[in-house]
Amino acid sequence: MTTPERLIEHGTEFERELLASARLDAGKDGGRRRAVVAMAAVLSTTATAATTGATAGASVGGISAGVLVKWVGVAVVTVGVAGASVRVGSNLVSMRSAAPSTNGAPVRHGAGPSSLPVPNRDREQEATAATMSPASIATAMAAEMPLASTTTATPSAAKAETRPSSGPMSRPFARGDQRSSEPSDLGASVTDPDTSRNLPARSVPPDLEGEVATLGAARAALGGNDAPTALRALDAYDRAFPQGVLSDEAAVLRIEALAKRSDPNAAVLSERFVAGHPASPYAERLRAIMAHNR
Amino acid sequence: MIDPRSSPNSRPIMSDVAALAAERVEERAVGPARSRRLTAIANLHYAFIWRSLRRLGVAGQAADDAAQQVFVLCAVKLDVIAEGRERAFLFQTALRVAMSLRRDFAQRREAFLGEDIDQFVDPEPRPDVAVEVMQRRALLDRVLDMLPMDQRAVFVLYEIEGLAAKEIAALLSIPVGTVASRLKRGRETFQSGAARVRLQMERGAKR
Repeated sequence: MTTPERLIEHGTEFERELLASARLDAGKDGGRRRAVVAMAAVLSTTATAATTGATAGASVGGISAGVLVKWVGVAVVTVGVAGASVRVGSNLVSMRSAAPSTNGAPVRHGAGPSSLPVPNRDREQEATAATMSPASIATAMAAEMPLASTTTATPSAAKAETRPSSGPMSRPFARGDQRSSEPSDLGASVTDPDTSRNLPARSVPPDLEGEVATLGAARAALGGNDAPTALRALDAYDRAFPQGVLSDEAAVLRIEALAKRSDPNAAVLSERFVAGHPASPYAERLRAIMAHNR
Repeated sequence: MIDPRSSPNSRPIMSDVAALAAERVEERAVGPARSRRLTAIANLHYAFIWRSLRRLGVAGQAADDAAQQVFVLCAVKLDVIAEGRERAFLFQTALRVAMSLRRDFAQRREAFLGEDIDQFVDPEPRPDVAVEVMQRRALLDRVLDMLPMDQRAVFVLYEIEGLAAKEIAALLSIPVGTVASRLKRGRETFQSGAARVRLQMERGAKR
């Protein structure tokens, strides 16, 4: 395909001026750091959930106590400075840990059937996990996003990150403000002296918190085998967040809840979801669930 | 639902296996590697996502919150984002967030009918940025507002971020041909819009 010459070089003077003004547009300092802290809050809660689960099973190699302490530290710092972010984080916890396994099974946030046995953490399962590449899931994940609806993931999709710095054209465009690709340590970013100054008490839009909380309630009910309550929570979710960013998750939870009641609508909805999101990681999950429930 | 690939008797505990495997992947990912990955994602892509949100029509201050929302969602879904697909995930999420924010804004704006929205001033003027540049940016955003979101995303990535069509296709998970057609239409709208805005400016200056 031949692409046209770029307006920033070949457009009218006015067009070039307009486009060039976008260069170097950047947010206030600290935005990136704030995002890292908010992400850390989410992660820390995930780590806690996983560890809680792990105590029921056996030791998990990947988690050292030190790391966990650090995560908790991150969360504590965040509470002090940007409480709002942590509220989101803790709601995410509630979502993730909301399937309280009465039998002590590890918390799973993949909305799996709650009747799973406690996994033995032996080498064989290690191997099982290894064969299930998150990569395949994720390519699919990206493909289910709205703009992708015209097609499924292109084969070249995996190249998304290969952004060539080559060529003479790299100069005029808005770029170059990427930070070092050297990953800095999360803990370090939090102890950075000017972090507190740069962390206004603003939060992720409240909608996301609400979404997470509502879905958390549904998931908790489902974990407790209480499908009616789960469905009520999901109805509430649909009413409150018709355009919710977690609507896929809500749809999958609904199908699981219906399947739990042996409701024939589960199959209908599942089929519709899989047709609409053939490449979604949830599609695979739904196929498995429906196959299991037949 | 009928899935021809799985008969009722084949691997009845498939869901258990899948769930377990997913869980194991997740648990193994918790820890330093995971935190490093998240930090690296933010370091690499924050500025790009913030800029993208702005050019997709998210107003100045809201862009900070919107960017944070995008990255929090990335943390939530980290386990299903493949290595190398982070940027695509982030951009597509940013696109969704921008669209949802714009819907909200459009609804709110109806309450203010009659006010001249052209008089809208960035609530946080930046002392370090020349007034002239800010004015041009405002004009740029006004012209970009004339583009439907699908064309706008492609246009911004091509004309402002300087990506190649192939990269854009990968980022949006759409065919290159679709990129080309959206770009073509986007450019036409942009060029006619820029001409119109310029004419308005000249008329305004004469008055």
